[in-house]
Amino acid sequence: MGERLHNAEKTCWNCPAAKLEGNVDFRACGQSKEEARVDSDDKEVLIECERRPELGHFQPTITFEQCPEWEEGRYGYRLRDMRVLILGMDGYLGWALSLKLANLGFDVAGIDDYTRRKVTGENDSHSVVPVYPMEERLEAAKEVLGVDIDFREMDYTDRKELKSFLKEFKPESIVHYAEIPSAPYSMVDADHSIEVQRNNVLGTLGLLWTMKEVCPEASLVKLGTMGEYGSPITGRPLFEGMFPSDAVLEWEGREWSMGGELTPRNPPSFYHVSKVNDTYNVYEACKYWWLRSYDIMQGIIFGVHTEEVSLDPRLRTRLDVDERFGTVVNRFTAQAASDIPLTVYGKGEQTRGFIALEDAMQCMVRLISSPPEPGQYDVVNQVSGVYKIKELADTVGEVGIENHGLDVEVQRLENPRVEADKHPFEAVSRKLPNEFGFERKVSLRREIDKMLDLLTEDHVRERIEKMKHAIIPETQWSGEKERPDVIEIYSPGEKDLGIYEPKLDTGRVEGEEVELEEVPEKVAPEIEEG
Amino acid sequence: MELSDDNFEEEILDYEGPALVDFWGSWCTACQQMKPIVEKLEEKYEDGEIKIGYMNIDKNPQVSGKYEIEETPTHILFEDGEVVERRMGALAGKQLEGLFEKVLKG
Repeated sequence: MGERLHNAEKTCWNCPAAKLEGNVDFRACGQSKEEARVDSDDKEVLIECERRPELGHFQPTITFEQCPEWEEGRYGYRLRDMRVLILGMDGYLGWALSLKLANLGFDVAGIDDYTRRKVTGENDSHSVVPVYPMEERLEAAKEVLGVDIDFREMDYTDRKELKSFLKEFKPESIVHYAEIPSAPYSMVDADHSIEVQRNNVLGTLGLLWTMKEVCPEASLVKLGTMGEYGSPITGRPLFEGMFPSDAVLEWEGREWSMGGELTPRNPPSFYHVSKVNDTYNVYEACKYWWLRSYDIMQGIIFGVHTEEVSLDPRLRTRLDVDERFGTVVNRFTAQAASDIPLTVYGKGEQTRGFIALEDAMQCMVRLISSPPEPGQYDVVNQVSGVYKIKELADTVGEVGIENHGLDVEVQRLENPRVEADKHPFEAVSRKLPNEFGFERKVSLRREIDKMLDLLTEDHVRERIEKMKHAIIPETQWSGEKERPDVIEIYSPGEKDLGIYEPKLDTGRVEGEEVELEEVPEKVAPEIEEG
Repeated sequence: MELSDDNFEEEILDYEGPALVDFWGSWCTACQQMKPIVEKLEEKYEDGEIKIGYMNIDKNPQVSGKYEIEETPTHILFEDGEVVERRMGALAGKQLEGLFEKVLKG
């Protein structure tokens, strides 16, 4: 007998088809009405099912394994034709996830107002991987994967339009990818900073009120960032949102458990502050209204591949490498492909959590498939590796030199950001591997290698060439606009990585880790002299 | 073990010996964090020294109403069906285990 699927024992209590409103008298976080307590003797919890009305009123105890509406899938039991709405469908993650979900048989709809396509034009940048207009993307999805995806051009902060679409589509899960995801963009000037917080914080707050009104049973799968935590200089582990119960506050000889309290956040930009504000808003909405949410503290994402986007050029997802929207591995890889020295900020000993695109998409499907209980707010750290920035530059350099015959150098720049660039780092990521069955499949070197395959194609190199002016950082956290000085230029692997050893705690015993696909041996092409 | 309005009497009130009930709610982050700790204790005391059970207060309004559970987590320690100790709020493993001394040594 095979291993039991991770969500086999979840019940109607977790299922978005269970109609709770009007049936369950929720105790508002313990503050039950006094008369409810007095009359509790004859109370029984019964629900109705939206998908199986023939059951009438029944106890919410049917497990996913028992229920015919839940079927076995690759990433756990999943609600048949589960309706998933993706906010920000046109983006780097939104598009990749839409294809994956649709391909797995989910009923997918999405909205986007093309903010990203527009704002990357502000500094004459663009996705270095060509992205097709949405109409062509949808046609290609139909042609290549045989799936129909419902798309509306819409600003998610327009509550009237959003409400009307929620009523029409009746989502059972909502994936929130519609935020502006850039620290430097939020630090450009007052207008940019305010727009990031308006779109992110107020947009999410409006979404929560609209969900309460229209679809309180849907789960909100909300994208946060590991950056919310900052990087505490004490080396305290970055727990998954809340302190464990055995974490104790000791003061003047007395002790209290910190269990369940949100851990301190220390956001390093106004963008990160917006994500922290979201965290509190979502947390409270779950508490007040019985909404349910996974708040995902995602590591820095990298990569260009998923099973679906790699099938056809029209299905490709975008890849930004400019100083504002280019995440570090993606930016380094594009620099390596175009003979631009990799830009390391400051000492380069900043340590962060990372995850490859394909692995992140696997996590998302698992989270969507296994919804929280009503009122449950939970945080997962979606991270599959922890690295120092300098170490990443070395790895990109090594793969570029050994496998692609590139001539890679690293340049250290004065750090435009205000951040510790040398610090201990320990991230905890136990829930996804242990409670949701996540298994990391993509190694850093393998993905960098695959990225270089694509980014060294002539047409992509040309696109990097056209936007390369936007790679060197000009946004200083001081508010000034100037390019930082180059401190030194060196070859990958030449520098010491520093004293702190990054740590990732997955709660798994050493040796239990899954083997990752290795980088195939390649003969590097000859480097042309001169 | 999972407790409910239906089995509470048999499992806890009629039980001859010490028993701990963890009252929790889905929305309670402290309860989520306490779960692995209580489970560890359940394993440690599984030879019957102390019976440990969990009760979701929203699914089981009768028992949680009777014991006036207004804050979670709440832990109630019973001995021979009688309440010996009651604690509100999150507890570290050793604090929770400290409660057991009353019934184990007593």
